[in-house]
This record gives sequence, structure tokens and C-alpha cells, in this order.
Amino acid sequence: MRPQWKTAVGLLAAAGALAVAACSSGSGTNTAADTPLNLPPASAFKTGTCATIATPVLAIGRFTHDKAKAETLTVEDRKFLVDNGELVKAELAKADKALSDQMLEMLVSIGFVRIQIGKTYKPELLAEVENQRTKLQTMCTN
Amino acid sequence: MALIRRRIMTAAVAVAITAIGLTALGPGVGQTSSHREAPLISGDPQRDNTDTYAFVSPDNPDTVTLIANWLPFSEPNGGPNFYKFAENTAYDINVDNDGDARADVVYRWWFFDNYRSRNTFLYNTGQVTTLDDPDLNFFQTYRLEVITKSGTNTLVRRGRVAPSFTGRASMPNYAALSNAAITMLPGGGKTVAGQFDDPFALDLRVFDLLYGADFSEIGQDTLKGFNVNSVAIQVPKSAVALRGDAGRNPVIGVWSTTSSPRVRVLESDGDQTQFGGYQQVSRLGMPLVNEVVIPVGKKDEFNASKPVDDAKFLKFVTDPEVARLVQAIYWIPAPATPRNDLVAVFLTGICNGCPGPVQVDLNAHRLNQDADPAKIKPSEMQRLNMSIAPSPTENRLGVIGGDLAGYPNGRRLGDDIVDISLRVVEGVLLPGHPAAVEGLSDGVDSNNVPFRTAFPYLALPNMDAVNTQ
Repeated sequence: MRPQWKTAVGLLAAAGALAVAACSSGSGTNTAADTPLNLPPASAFKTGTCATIATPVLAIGRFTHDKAKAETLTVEDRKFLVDNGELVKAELAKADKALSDQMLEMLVSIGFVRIQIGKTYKPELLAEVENQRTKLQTMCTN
Repeated sequence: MALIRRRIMTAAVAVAITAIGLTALGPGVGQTSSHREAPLISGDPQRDNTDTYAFVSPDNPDTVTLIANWLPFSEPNGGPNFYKFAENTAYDINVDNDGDARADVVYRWWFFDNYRSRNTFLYNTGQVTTLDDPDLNFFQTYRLEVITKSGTNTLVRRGRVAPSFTGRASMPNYAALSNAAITMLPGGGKTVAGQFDDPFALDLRVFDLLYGADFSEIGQDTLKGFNVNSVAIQVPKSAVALRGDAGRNPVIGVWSTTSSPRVRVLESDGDQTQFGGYQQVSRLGMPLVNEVVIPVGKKDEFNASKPVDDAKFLKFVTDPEVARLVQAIYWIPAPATPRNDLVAVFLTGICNGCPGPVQVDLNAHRLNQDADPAKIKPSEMQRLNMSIAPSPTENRLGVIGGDLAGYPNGRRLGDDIVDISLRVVEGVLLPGHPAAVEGLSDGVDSNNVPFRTAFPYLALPNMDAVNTQ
């Protein structure tokens, strides 16, 4: 793939992630984090498994930012997390051990959010998702 | 005790009529919540044992209170026959005080139907103000026996069962009726049998939600508004302790059972004939065991089984299905097997030298000084260390919440069994568990109505229709 095409694909992927994340956060209440969102482009992800999981990883990053102050999550939020988590999970077998371990850490943190959506939800659970997602992103972009 | 509490916390943080029947049912030859938990018993609610409780009496700490419930999902307005205990059925609370997985003391209730008139469909023919009120058309009486290795003694010959609460117009002071049913026992103690609020609180939609992987609506108490039929007994600790010495031998194992005639013949005149001796059909010690630990192919067998034979169920404890389901659906890895932490909680009790990561002396039979260690067998029952004083302020999370007077050290009415069990199954007692395990919950933290402060502690039965709540 030529570099300009990679950039274009990356931009399209990022735009798609933005669109998915936007759809998942339809509430009028501002639940976003106070700090500005700062995500790398998908093109910054290393080739291979990292590039393949860039879109869901970035989408989850926007989600955790937009929902950082939310006091509860919805059924739609859960579906968003499941759908993007499945995209990451599908690539586990192809990743090397260090990468797959970190992918699992993020998936487990998502699992704890999913199992406690609703009355038992706590924002700290999503903060842990972001913590593990950031580690995965760093691993994929450095 | 403070030391034990600290050590538990540290570990937690870092980690069961006739002469023929009596012969078949005596101790020594011996014998979760669990509402409709097994195929066979779900069709026989009068004998379906839902929960068992064992705790040091908070207002009388020299005694222990034992409670067992039947008839799950009794809707308050289920007339005109309402809810009664089955006749020709042994309702037992069993106590093993030496750890050999066999009952040493059995409290057994036999119930008898009484009709003042069979020429009416009514449960009561007018307002009922006393247990002897002639307007109470149907009532049950019971005989309570205590069975030990030395024989059978009748504690109550003709006790009165508190009737089903048929309505505020019919029974304007139900509390007075219920309290009048409390019967004093010879040698100390008291007992009661009758209808009460179901003390268990949980969201049973977990069985659907698990597969839907959507816990977004959890937090509704499925049992809110439903009643059960209960037997409760409060006896001096010495009555159940090994050699009668609760100081040297403070640990008891407790489970309840129901036993029914093996053969029932339905006659053409509507009568029935029962014979063939008795067969245990329901068993309940630790809550949720037969409900979610034992697979469906073994549930009826478990209900008919005796603790002494529990080795055959060991693999379901050491490799629990729930943890595997959570891993498959939520991607949360199941703790490594074999689960010796669960063996300690469910099968041996917790002690120094017991299996599992929590090495503190809490509630294992091994702590009884007169127990023969060579005869102690792992078995599923509630284990209560009666030397641990009741907590002035109960923590719903029991031992994992730093309150050693609660589950799994026995079980109090308010212990949050689902939250505790979910956390334990997901590894809260194991070192290095994910911090999020400590927050797992079904979103139901307490019963819908408060428990009472005096025996039998159970709340009075609900009266409002469940579908109006």
C-alpha cells in the first residue's frame, strides 16, 4: 500500500471510529472528561496486529473520554464495548505474547464494565479501561 | 478476634412418624439459596427447601438460632388454600458437631392438617384474632422432635403453626398471631413454624442476563413481596455443641433436609395412600450450591444425597461452571483450578492448615478440641463458629467485609449471598485478584423489608399482591 493510501485509510478509520463513538453517546448530558481528547491517528499504529486493531482501540479511547464522567452506562454503551472488544479479541491469536497479554488486560477491564453496567457501575471501571487501552496504544505506536 | 479479623481482611484483600420412617431417618445413618433449583423438587414446592440460616442469636448470644425455609415464591394472595407444610414429611435441621459429615443432632418437625369444617371452601370463616379462634377453619399443628445418638425426644407434642396471612380484614393483627405461635422448649430455647417474608434478596434474572450479557437492569429484588414457610429454633449453644461444650467445641455444621414417603398412591375417591419408608428429596446447606454449582444432571441426586458422600461432587466445586461462564461471556479470566479457596469455603471451613489461601482459624470442625481429626470429612454444609460474638453492626458482605459473624461463618438473614458468592467465585480470596472483583454485585444489597430484632428475626409475611409492587 502506498503511503498516501495508508494515510487515507487511517483517516477513514479514525472518522469511522468517531462516528461510532458519536452514535454511542447520544445523551445531552456532558459526561466527557475535562481534558481534551488526544488520540494518535490510526496510521501511527504499527503494521500487523496493531494496525488491525487500531480502529477499535481508538474508538474505545474516544468512548472512555466521552463517558468519563457518566454515572451509568446504557445497553447501547454495552453493545459498543462488546462490538469493539470482539474486534480486538478476534486478533488475539495473531499477536505476540506481550501484545496479546495487553490486549487481554484491556478486554478484562471491559469485561468488568460490562458485568457492572447499570446500578452497580462506577466511573473508576471505565478509567481502568482507559488505563489499559492507553498501555495497548502505547505498545502499538512506540 | 480482632487478630482473626485483621488476618481475614489481609487475606481477603491480598486474596441437610412412623417407626419405619424414624429408622430410615435417624442421625448416624444420617443424610443455598435454592428456589426451584432442581428438576424434581421444583414440582414439589411444599418440600422444596429454599434457604437455611445459622447464627448466634444477636439478642441472646448464649444461644444459636437455626432457620430453614420452604415453599418458594408464595404469592401472598394465593388462596383459598394458601400455603401449608406437607403432611407425612420430615422437615429437618441437621447439626454435625464432630465433622464426620453425619448429623449428630436433628431437629425434626412433623406437620398435621386440621379442619374445623369441611363444608366450606374458606380458610377462615370470619375474622381471626387468636390461634384458637373458631373462625380459623384450617390450621396445622406440629410435633417437634430432637434426635441424637441416644434416641428421640419430643420437644413439642402439639405446637400450632402460624397460619398463612390471608388478608388484613381476616387477620387484623397478624403479628399477634405469629408471635403467639412461638413455643418455649423444655430445657431452654424456643421454636416457631409458619409463614414469613422470604428473607433472601437477589436478582434472579441473572439466569437470563448471563446469556444476554446485559446486566444493565440488575438491582431488582426478584423475591420482593413473596413469602415462604419457615421453621425456626433457638437453643442454647450447649444443645448443639460436641459433648455439650461450646467452649471447647464451638464449631457446628448445619444443613436442612426434607424427606417424603417413597410411594404415594392416588385413590379413586380423591384420597391418597403413602408408604415405603422415607426418601430425602431436598437438601440445603450453603446457599446457591445446588442452584449454580451442581449441574442439572446431578441436581436431583444432590438433593437426595448425604454430606458424607460429597466427594462425588468435589469437581464441581474445584472447577466451578460459573467462573467459566463469566470468562466465556465477559472475558474475565476464571481463577486457576483446582479452586482450593472454594474447597475451604464450601467443604472444610477455614482454618490454619485447611486448604486454600486464607490461613486463619475461623469455622472448621478441626477447631473443636474434642473432634477426632482423622474422622473429619470434607462435606458441604454451613459451618458456624459459635464463639464469635454477633456483630453490633452487621456488614452485608460478612467475612469478606471484615465481619466474622457473617457468611460464610454460618449465615445471617441479611448476608448478601449473591454479592459474596460472586466475588468469591471470581477469586476475591485469592492473592493478586483484579481489584474490580471486589465490586461485583447483583445490585440488590438488602431485603425489601427490615428483619425483626427478636426471635425469630424473620419479617412478617407480605400481604400486598406481588403484581402491584
